[in-house]
Amino acid sequence: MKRTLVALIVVALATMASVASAQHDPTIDPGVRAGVVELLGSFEVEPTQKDWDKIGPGAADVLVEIAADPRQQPTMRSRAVSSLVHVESDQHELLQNLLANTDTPVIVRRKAMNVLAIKHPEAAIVALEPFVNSDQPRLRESAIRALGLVARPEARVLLQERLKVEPRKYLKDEIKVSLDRIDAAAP
Amino acid sequence: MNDNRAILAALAAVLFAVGLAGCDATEASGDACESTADCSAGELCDDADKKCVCPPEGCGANNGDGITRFGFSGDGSVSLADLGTVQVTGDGSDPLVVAVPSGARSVAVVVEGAGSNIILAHKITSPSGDVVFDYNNDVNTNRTDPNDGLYIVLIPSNPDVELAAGDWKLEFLTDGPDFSATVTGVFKTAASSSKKIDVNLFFVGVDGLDAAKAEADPGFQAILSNVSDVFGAAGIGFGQMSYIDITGDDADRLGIVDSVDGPSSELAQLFKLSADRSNRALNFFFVADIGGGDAGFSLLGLAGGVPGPPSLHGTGRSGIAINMADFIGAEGDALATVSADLELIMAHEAGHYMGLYHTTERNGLALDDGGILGQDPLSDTPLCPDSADTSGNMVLSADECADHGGGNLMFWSPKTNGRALTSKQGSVINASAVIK
Repeated sequence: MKRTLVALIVVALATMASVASAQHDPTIDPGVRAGVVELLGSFEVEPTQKDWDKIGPGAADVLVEIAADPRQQPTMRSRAVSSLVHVESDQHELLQNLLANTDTPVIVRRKAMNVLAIKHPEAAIVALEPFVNSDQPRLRESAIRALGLVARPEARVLLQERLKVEPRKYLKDEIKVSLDRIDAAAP
Repeated sequence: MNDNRAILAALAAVLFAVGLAGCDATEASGDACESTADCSAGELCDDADKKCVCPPEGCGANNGDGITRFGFSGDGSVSLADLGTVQVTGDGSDPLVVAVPSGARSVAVVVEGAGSNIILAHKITSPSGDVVFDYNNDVNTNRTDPNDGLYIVLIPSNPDVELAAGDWKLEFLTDGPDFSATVTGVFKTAASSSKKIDVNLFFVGVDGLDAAKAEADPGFQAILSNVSDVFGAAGIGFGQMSYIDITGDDADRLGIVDSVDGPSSELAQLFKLSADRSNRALNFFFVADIGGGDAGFSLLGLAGGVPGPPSLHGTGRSGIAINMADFIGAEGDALATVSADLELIMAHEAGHYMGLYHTTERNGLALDDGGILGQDPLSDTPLCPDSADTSGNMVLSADECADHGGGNLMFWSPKTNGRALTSKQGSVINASAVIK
């Protein structure tokens, strides 16, 4: 009984901390926040680099806030994560945390892999390695694709090792595509 | 003599009818396959033999052009015709003559063969010589946008354009090498009788939602009912629903769509899964995510085109993909919000598939050179003026356009939950060959 009570308190405190950390940052210009939300709010149009440049450096803080907020819908969070490729900001720790947290929706974790690979290739190799061998095919697929974006020999090694044991045909094909991509990017 | 003419006319009529219905005599390729996506359009992968076979309805006239042809049934208000081939170059093409019968409501001219290159109408001329589209001279009365792969021109895409009977002339351009285009016409030859849209609902790897559950779930049924109600403003509603599960490798591979551009993208492969359908219907594909670009920006929904190929199944544009990521695991108030969003996304993308453009684009008419600019060609849809950009960020938000069409179903952003349709938008939809 006592243990249950303690566990409940811990969960409640963790939830409160999570929500508190996801509150709107009062230092962010409301106009910047509104602009970011507008850009992330289309049916089917991805904002361009120029869109993000127009908003300016403040966009990064809003994107991070949305990406980390568990109250946001998964598509909104995933759009915020993807958009981090367009802003000048080192967010590899946030991305690694999203990736490691199994409570984070799969689509958000998948985008975190992509952005890590594009913006932080060194950190991506270590972060993606466990997911190349994940028992969840969708995470595995995403890690395979993300490694294809990392034009490094270590990525090639990971993919070649997985190719030997990958049972699914479409994932084998994905590995080959990623290997070709790495080869094409090689100097 | 008169008897002979009558016999010849009857024979011609029979041959024409057979031609429209499509020749079902073609054989399956028998190619080895792991899934239907490995087979040609119109074929299925036989799970037992791992070979491409024809479905029970037949492969259709699967002549390698990527379109599954089928005999239209029902009220007979739609017909399909092989319009032959036309050589397309960077300078244009010879005019393709499309004979429009008297009383026709619309024709969708479906052009294949561009591969991953872009194809666009160069000029569209009516039987009386009126130019309703001219790429070089910025005539856009009958708006049509370029596409790669399969390209569809809808006439009229604007009810101000009269679809007069007679010979219409269409010329095409490409940005790639010269190619021989294969052209098919989908004619809506009479007004819809039932004003119903039949719907094929494909469930592709969405956790917690499959065909059986969707059919039995009151919440999902309410979503479908509300989408149908959106089109009630145009006197149209959903008709027969078909529920289809996509399973196995296809579901694993395409349940999350990772690429959306080009004829070999996962989105195109997803839409090709409609190849075994033989009804006149819209295809909705419910997936766990739709990602574009290297970073995988999530799209809420995506139609196969504006318009999509009406009731032609098995092409890389034969469907509407709906992102279900927010729906998965949602409960209570969150589920209510997500359901309302889903209704809007489905209705908006169906609007595109049936020929509707965004009433106002994100960057207005001229806010941002190189941005997404434009408006639909309809005179009764509200245009949000560039002056409404009070924030000065060159984006016309739903809030800024609240009094200028932000509440229209086809506004570029879903933020106002707009579901309004104008009379002319209703006319475009009613002319679609999708409507029975």
